[in-house]
Amino acid sequence: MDQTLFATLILERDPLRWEDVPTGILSWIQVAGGIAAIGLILWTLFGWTRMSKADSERIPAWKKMAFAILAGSGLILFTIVLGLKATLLGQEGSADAQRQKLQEALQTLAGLLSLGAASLPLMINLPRMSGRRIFGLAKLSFQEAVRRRVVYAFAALLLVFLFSSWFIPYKPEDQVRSYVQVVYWAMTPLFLLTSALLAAFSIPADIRNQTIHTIITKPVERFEIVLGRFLGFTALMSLIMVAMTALSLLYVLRGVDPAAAAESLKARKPFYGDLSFLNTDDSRKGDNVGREFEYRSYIAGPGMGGRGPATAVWNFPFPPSSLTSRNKVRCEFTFDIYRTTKGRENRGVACSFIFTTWRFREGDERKYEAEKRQALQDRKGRSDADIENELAEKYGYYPYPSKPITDYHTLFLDIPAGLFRNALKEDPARLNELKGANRPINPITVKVNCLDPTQYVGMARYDFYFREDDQDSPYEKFHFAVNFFKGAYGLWLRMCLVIGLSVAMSTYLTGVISLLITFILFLGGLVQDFIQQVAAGANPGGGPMESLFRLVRRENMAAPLEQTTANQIATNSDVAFRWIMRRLLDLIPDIDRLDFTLFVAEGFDISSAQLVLNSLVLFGYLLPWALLSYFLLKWREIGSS
Amino acid sequence: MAGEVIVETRKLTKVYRDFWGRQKHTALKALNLEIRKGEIFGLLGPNGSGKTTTIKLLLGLLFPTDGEAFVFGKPAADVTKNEKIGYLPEESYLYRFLNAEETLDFYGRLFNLDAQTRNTRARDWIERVGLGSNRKRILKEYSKGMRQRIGLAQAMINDPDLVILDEPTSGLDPLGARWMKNLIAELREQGKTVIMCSHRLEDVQDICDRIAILNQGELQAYGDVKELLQDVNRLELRASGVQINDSLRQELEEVVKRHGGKVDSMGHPTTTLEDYFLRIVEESKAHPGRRFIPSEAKK
Repeated sequence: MDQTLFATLILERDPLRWEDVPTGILSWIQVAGGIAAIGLILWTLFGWTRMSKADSERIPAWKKMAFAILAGSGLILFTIVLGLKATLLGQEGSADAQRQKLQEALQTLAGLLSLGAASLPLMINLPRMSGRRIFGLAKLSFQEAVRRRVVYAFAALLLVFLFSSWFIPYKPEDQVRSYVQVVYWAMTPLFLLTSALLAAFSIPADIRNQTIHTIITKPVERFEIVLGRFLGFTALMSLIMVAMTALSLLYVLRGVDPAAAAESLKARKPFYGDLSFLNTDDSRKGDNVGREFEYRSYIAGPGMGGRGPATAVWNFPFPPSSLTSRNKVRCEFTFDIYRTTKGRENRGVACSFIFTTWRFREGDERKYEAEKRQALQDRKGRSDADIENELAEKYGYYPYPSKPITDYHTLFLDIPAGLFRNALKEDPARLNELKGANRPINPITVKVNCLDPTQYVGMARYDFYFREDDQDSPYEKFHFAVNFFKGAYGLWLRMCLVIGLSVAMSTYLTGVISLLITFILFLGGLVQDFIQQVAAGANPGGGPMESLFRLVRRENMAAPLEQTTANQIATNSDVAFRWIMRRLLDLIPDIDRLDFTLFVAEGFDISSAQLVLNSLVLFGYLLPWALLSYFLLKWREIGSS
Repeated sequence: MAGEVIVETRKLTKVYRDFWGRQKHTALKALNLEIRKGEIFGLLGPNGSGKTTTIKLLLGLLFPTDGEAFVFGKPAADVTKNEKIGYLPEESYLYRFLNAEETLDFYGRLFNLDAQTRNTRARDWIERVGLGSNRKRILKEYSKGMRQRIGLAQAMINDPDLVILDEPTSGLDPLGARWMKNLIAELREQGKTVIMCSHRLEDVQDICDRIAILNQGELQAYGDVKELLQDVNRLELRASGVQINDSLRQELEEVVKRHGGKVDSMGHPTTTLEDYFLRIVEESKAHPGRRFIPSEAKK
C-alpha cells in the first residue's frame, strides 16, 4: 500500500527538549523570584510592621540574619536590574548586548536570593514534617472522596462507551483518531471537574465544619494539610484514571474495524530535522500562498517565481545507530498542496527527494548513477534493494526522482539503511575538509522539490520525519496501547495542576471562589497563545483601548490609526495594559503542553523526554503556588473563620 | 498552690477586626492566668465571655492581638507543644464518614504514633469510652453522646499531659456526665492537668480545683474553688443520728446566739437530683421489671 492514513502531527510549538532545561530553569528562577520579591515587599509593608515585639524577639538571630541577607540582597539586585532595564530601553549594540547579559545574570541571582528568602520559613519547617502524618491526611482525603461516592461520577463515561459509536465515522482512516479523541475528550472534563470540585471544597468545608480544629490542635504543620489533601485526592483520581484509561483502551481496540486497526494502531517514533528553504525570500520560510493557517509554507513548481527551483531542505542530526541494523528506514511526510490549476485528474503533484549525508561529495551523484546502472545489469544475485543499500552506504546519496503527493494523506518512502550507515561512519578527512571550507556538517540532508510547474507544495518542520521504530514490528498494537496510557499521563498532569491550584486557593478562599479562580487560570492556559499575542501587541486591532476606539469609530482593525492625540493616548495606555498582561502570563499554566491527545490519536509516540520535561514544567509551576499556600494557611486564623 | 506552671498567659488580648482593620469586638482583655501541673482548672462565664477564645488562643487556633500565651513554656503558636495536649472541642467536630477505629487511627497518625501503639490505644480507648460494640459504625450514625465519647478518646490517644475540654459533658446523659466527671478525676490522679470550660456549674464545682470566671472578656474571679465559694459569714453543721425537734432547735439557737449569730434555717439535707437520678437508674438495673406507678406513690 503506497499511502497510509492521514496522520498529521501539527506542532505549532517545538516540543520540549533536554537542551531547554538550563534555559527553562533560569527563566523559572527569574519569574518565580520576581513574584517572591513582590511577596517580600508586601510582607515587609503589611506583615513585618505588625509583628509584635515579643514575637520578633522569639525568632532566633541566625534566622533573622539569613532572611535579612537573602531578602535584602535580592531586593537590591532587583532594583539594579530595573535600573539597567530602564537604561537599555530602545538601545541596541554590542555594548548593550553585554549589559543585557549582565542584567540577565543579575536578575537570575536576584530571583534566587528572593526565592531563598521567601522559602526560608518553609525550608526550616520541612524537617519537622512527617511522612506518617502526611500519609494519614492523604488517606483521610482518599476515604472522604470514596465515601462521598465521588467514584459514581465516572459512571457518566459509560454513556460515551454505549453511545459514542453511533456518531463516530466508520471510514477506517478516521476511525482510530475519532475514537481516541472522543474518549479523551470525555475523560478530560470528567476528571478535571471532579478533581477541582473535590480539591476546592475540602479545606473550606473542614474550616466551616470546624473539623480542622481537631487537626490543627495536633502537632501538625499546616503545610502537611495542604500536601495531604493534594496527595490524597491525586492518589484516588490516579487509581480511577488507570481504570478508566484501561476501559477506554479496551473500547478503542474493540471498536475499530480491522482495516483501521492495521493502519492506525501505531506509535511512531519520529526522528525530526530542521527545515529551511532555498530560492525563497526567507530561508526560514517558503512562499505564502494566502492560506489563513500559516503553519506551512510553500515551494513552487519549476519556473514559478522567477528564481531557481524552490527547495525545502531538512537537515537531520546524527541518527540513532539502531537504524543502521535494518535494510530500510521509513520516512513519512504529509504535505499540503495548493493548486493554481486543476492539474491532472486523479494524479498527485510530483515531488523529487534527494537524500545525502555529510560525507557525500558534490559530483558523486553521477558516479552513483553510473554504478547503479552497472550493478543493475550485473546483479550477482542482488536485489534492487541490496544494490541501493550498497550504493547509498558507499556514496551517502539516495535519490527518489518522483513521488506523487496527495492531499490529506501521509505518504512514505523506504530509504536504504546504507545511507544511515554512511552517515555514522567515521571520516576524519571529510570532517577536516568541511571544517577547512567552513561548511556546516549536516549528518543527513533531504531536499524536496516540486516538479509540477503550476502547483505549490506546503510543508512545515514536523511534516517530514524518519521512523525510529520498525514499521513492520508485530508489536505495533502493544506500542499503541502503551502510548494510550502515556496520553492519559498528560491528562493526569492536568488533573494534578487542577488539584494543586484548587487546594492552594482553598487555603484562603472559599470553595466557590477557589474553583472559579482555578477555572479562570485553566482557561487562561487554554488561550495562552492569544494572551501572548495581546501581551506582545501582535494581535490585529491593538489592545483594549485601541480596539474600543476602532469599534466606536467603525475603523477597520487592519488599517493604521491616524496620529491624533486621542489615538496616541489609546495606544500608550495599551502599553501599560500589555505590561500587566505580560505579568499575568507568568501566572497562567501552559495547558497546551500537557495535552498529548493528538500524539495518541495520530499515532505518534510520546517520548519519555516529553513526559519527564512536562512533569518538571508542571512541578515548577505548582511550586510557587505551594509556597503561597504554605503562608496563607500558616497566617490564617483558623479559629475565627 | 505550688507546682510547675503548665499554662501561662500574660495580658492576653484578642480583638476581632473587620476587613479594614477597624476594631469590631474585644473578645479578651489582658488576661493573666497561671495553670499548674496536676490541677483541674475551670473556665467559667456566660456566652461570649471569652472562654472559648482563651482556649483557641492557647491551642494556636487564634493569634493574640496583644500579650502572650505559653503552654509547657512554649509560645502558643508553636505546634510542637501540641504533642502533649489533648483537645476535646465543644461539639465533637470529627469526620463523620470514619468509624471509631479509623478516627482514632487517623488522630494517632497525626501524633506520629507507630501502628502498634495506635492499635493498642485505639482498642483500649474504644472500650474505655464504652463504644466497643460500635467500633465499626461510622460516626454519622452515632448519637451526640457517642460522638462526645469518641471525641474524648481522640483527645486521649496521645496520652496527653494537658487535656483541654470544652463543654465535656455537653450532649451526655447524667450517666455519661458522671462517667466523664469520674474520668476527669482519674486524670487528676494520674497527674495530668485539665482545663475545662462548662456551663454546668455543678460539674465545675464537683471536680475543679481552681476556676477563673470571665465576663465580657475580662477576668472577674480567679482562684481555688473552695476558697471562692466559702461563705465566711455562715456556718454549716452536719450531723447524723438526730431528728429535728423543738428542744434541739432551741438549744442550737441558744448556742448560736451566745456566739453572736442567729439560726437562719434548720432542716434535713437534700441530695442532688443527679445523685437521686443515678440511684434510681442503678436500682432499676438491680431490679429489672420494677415500675414506678403514680397511684401507688399516692398511697
